Amino acid sequence: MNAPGGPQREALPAGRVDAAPLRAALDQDPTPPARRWLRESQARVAAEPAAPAGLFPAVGRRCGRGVLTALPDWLTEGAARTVLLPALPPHDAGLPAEAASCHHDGDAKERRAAGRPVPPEIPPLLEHFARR
Amino acid sequence: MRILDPHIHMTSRTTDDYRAMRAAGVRCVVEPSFWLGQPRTSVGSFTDYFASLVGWEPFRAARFGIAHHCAVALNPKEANDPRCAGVLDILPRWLAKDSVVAVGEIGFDSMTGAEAKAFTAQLELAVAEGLPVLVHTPHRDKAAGTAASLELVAASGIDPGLVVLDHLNEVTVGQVAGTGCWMGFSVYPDTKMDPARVVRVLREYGTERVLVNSAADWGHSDPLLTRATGEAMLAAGFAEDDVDRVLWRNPVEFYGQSGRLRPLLEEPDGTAPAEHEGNSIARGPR
Repeated sequence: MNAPGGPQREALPAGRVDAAPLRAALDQDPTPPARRWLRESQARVAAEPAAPAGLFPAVGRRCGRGVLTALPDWLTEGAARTVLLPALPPHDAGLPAEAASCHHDGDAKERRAAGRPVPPEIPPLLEHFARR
Repeated sequence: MRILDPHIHMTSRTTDDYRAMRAAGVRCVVEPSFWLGQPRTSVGSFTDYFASLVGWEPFRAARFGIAHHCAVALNPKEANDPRCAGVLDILPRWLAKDSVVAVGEIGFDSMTGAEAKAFTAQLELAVAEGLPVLVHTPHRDKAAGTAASLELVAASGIDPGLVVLDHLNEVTVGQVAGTGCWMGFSVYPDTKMDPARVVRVLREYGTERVLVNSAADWGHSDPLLTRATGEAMLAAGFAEDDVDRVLWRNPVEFYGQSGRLRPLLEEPDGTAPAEHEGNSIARGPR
């Protein structure tokens, strides 16, 4: 579903990801409606832990599928999915169920994002799926 | 003749069907989720089915030069099974997928309260997601089922232009014609609507807001009856432009309301990916 001629997949940074530079890059790159959708989605996720399951698959359509200008190793949709998950309320241990759901029912791109940024540790099985 | 079959269950069909459909002019299909014949006993069965509808089946169709989209829903028959009620809770994540262009099939089978509840809940999901809706009208007591369906559609507040009432016949088409909803006709080999009967309906009601599908599945059905209907229209004196409207432009317009329909593959013929997540339709060593 990439734009014709666009990258087929993003380069995968090793290990866990710091979401702050992604947020900064996303503040300047997608269109204003896309940025507005992402802000509203982050607020929804913070208020409604089950929200990511319905938002994750729509990220490419809503935020764009091209390369993120400020961070060219990233696709916009991958970065946007990644910043959606850290907006989840703090969780005591392991992978929040909502992130696991995004991962379990996601396509390859959704699985990569869902497996990447989640503190404190990514379960080995999810790590495997995220990087295949 | 270019064809978008707006209702066909390709999961139940073979690669020979895909090949024959492509040769007959089919360039795009929409596969609504439905009853598989064998009752499902858990939500997990639906999850895997929906994953196949947005994953494996579009891959398989693309191998034969056909764009594949789908509609997802809890079907009317299984809405009666309490073990499947949780499907309604997982639908939002599947309705958000890129290749999902509608909610469906929903509607009535035996006209129960559980069916009405699932029908109403899924109309609300369609409104929330801005998606069209495919409504199955029951095979038994079709007129009463169609009337009850129209009542729920009206009560939901959804734009009727986003709704198709499917499996209509000469008896029920008049119930739908003035409502603003689309009129769907499933063409079967021997029973229900055949190409000649569809042509007679088109003569009376015109080609506006009409969808013609094969509804081909695991039962007695034929995925080429869309083409046969187009040929029957031409033989009856309809213009090629009328056929193009009914078999292509109308379904493109209806499902295009989702904002997600890509009726033609982006890859040139013969260049679709040979594998989907490491799996292929090839046989033998690779």
